[in-house]
Amino acid sequence: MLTFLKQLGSPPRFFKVSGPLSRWLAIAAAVLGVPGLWLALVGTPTDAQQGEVYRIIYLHVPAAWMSMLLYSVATGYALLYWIWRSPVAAVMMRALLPTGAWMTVVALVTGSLWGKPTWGTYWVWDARLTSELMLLFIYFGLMALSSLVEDESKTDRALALFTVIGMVNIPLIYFSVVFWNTLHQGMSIGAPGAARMAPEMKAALLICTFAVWFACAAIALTRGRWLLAVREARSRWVRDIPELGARQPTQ
Amino acid sequence: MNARPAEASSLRLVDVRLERGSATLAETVSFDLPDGRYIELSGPNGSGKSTLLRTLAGLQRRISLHSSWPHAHEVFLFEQNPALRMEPTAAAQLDWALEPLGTRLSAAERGIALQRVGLERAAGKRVGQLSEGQRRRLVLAVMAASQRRVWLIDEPVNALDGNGIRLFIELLREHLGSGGIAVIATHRPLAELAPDLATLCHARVHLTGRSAEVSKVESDRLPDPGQTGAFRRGVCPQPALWALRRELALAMASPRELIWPGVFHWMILSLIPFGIGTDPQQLARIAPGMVWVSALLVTLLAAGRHLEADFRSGILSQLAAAGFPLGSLVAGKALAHWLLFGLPMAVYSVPLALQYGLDATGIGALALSLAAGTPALGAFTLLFSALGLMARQAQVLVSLMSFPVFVPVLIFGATTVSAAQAGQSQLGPLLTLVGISLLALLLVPPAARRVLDLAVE
Repeated sequence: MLTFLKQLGSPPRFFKVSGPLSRWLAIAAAVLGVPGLWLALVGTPTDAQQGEVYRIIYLHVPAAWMSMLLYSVATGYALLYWIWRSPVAAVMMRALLPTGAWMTVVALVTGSLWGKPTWGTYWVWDARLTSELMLLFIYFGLMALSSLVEDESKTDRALALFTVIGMVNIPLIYFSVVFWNTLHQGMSIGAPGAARMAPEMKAALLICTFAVWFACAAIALTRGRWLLAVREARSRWVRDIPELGARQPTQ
Repeated sequence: MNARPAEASSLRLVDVRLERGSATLAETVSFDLPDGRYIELSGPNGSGKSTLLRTLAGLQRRISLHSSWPHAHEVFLFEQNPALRMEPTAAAQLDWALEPLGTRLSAAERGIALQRVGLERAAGKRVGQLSEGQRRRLVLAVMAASQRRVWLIDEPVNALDGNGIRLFIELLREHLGSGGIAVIATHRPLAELAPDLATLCHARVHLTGRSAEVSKVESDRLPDPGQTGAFRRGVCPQPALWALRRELALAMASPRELIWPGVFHWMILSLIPFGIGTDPQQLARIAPGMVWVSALLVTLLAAGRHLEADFRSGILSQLAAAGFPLGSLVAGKALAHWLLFGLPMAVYSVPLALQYGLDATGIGALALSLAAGTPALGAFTLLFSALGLMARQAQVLVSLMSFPVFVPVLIFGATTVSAAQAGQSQLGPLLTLVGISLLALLLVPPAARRVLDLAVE
């Protein structure tokens, strides 16, 4: 397993494996996403208290989870990069950030759309909303860092350092509904004594979550893959990539 | 140091890779260098002469040097950037440059050092008023007085007049004569300038941009290095204190500039009533938050420049090459920021809060909270401005990165005041602010050191 992972650390190998992998992940996302969407919109019962509008959680909850999960995975790659200085870890760290930022935006927008009819307001300065907003700002900061700095290897190292530092915010968001008594509802899934959700709703939510997860993985992997190819444009293995045809880099 | 036989190689470089960014400029560079000799680097522009010098100075941390390579405390890096600040006088700048290298001069020694480079009349002039050549002479004075054994010199004769060149040759000859060593990058072979130096040249390294060709100079009349000089491993005894004192002295060189943040703070706070109306009760209610938000904005406004002058002038890379702990530099600068910016902010926020009709308890709490919270602001912005040194748009990056970390400071700062206003104890949030500040002062310097290492690489 470790040798397999180490092999994946070599750019050509990663490029080769990640292509079919991202394709399969995309297919899996579609296969789960279509029934997931059907279940979310039609197949699940209407919520007794919130009515039809609750259905937005089938997008909101997966997106919110992804916003935190993707950041954690990026931190994992940052640590890997620190240890092995592998360019694969560096591009994956960079590739995850925009996807994570999008998921944060989706979580915030869907949350506020859902908040209007249920809480009566688009936005409240509640601990979880605020810390999710901070997460978005941290994503913005890191994305700015990854694009504003000239030297690529310096950027990688600085980005790894600050990604790890920013990780402090993730537990704050995740447990904010526990630490602070806030308007945002507590955890509905997995928390003891919180099994208030109908089983078919839970199943639909899980399916949607996996669909979003696979989609995010496919997107990040594809982005990372081509970031790697651009970065290593001058090396031999990139010139041999069939998708690029016989085109030679202009240098 | 005891005398060594003439051919004893006191310095050896083995199989060092020469890289700039992601490009490899030479797969391997190896040479040895006995005491009292120098090596000349040549090659076209972009072939990596400066990069090799910076690698030898230990600035490229990815590339490890051989264990027999001298310690950073023996190295002096003389770059094309003169590594001087423009604000102090020439004499003061000499002191500020020597102290981090572990050398202190008496007034008499300082006079001699300046006289040696022909700057005795310019001693009281500000560095900014000196000519380019005079500044380089000042760096020569620093280098000569540093008592460091290894000189790494990039294009020494640029901008120097005939006398200046003769001066450099003389200093170099003295340095080598007392057993020192030097690596010199130059477009013009030094032997052209002073034929007798040829006997002291141990080897020439010609860089092509793809490889390094080392040609040893065969000379059978190598003179004995003679008595060895008083070289020292110069260590700055109190680096953070040095940084703090220097920062204060630089600020005092132009004290009038210290009031601008205060003026800006006043302007922001005066703008708000235009926007939201002048209802006294409303203003009093929002005063703590507004003063704090304005304090954050003013902090950010000045944030890009914390390290910029030291970086652009080459001082940071010279300090890093000399083995000066950059973390201590940041710690000293953070403390200076508090003294020059944070504490004054706490004081001049008092009359501004009066404009908002804040009562005495509120104003007291506001001043306390600003005094307690601004060290954290200074430390954080220093960390991010270290990052900004590498960025095309430092200000954008510093602001984007700073806002999330400012949030807790803002929350506890404003809470301190509103707690005091509501008649509750303000001790809790105030102590939290102190805690955040202490934590920032403790954790930021090591993190900033990593970032600065990257920036000077």
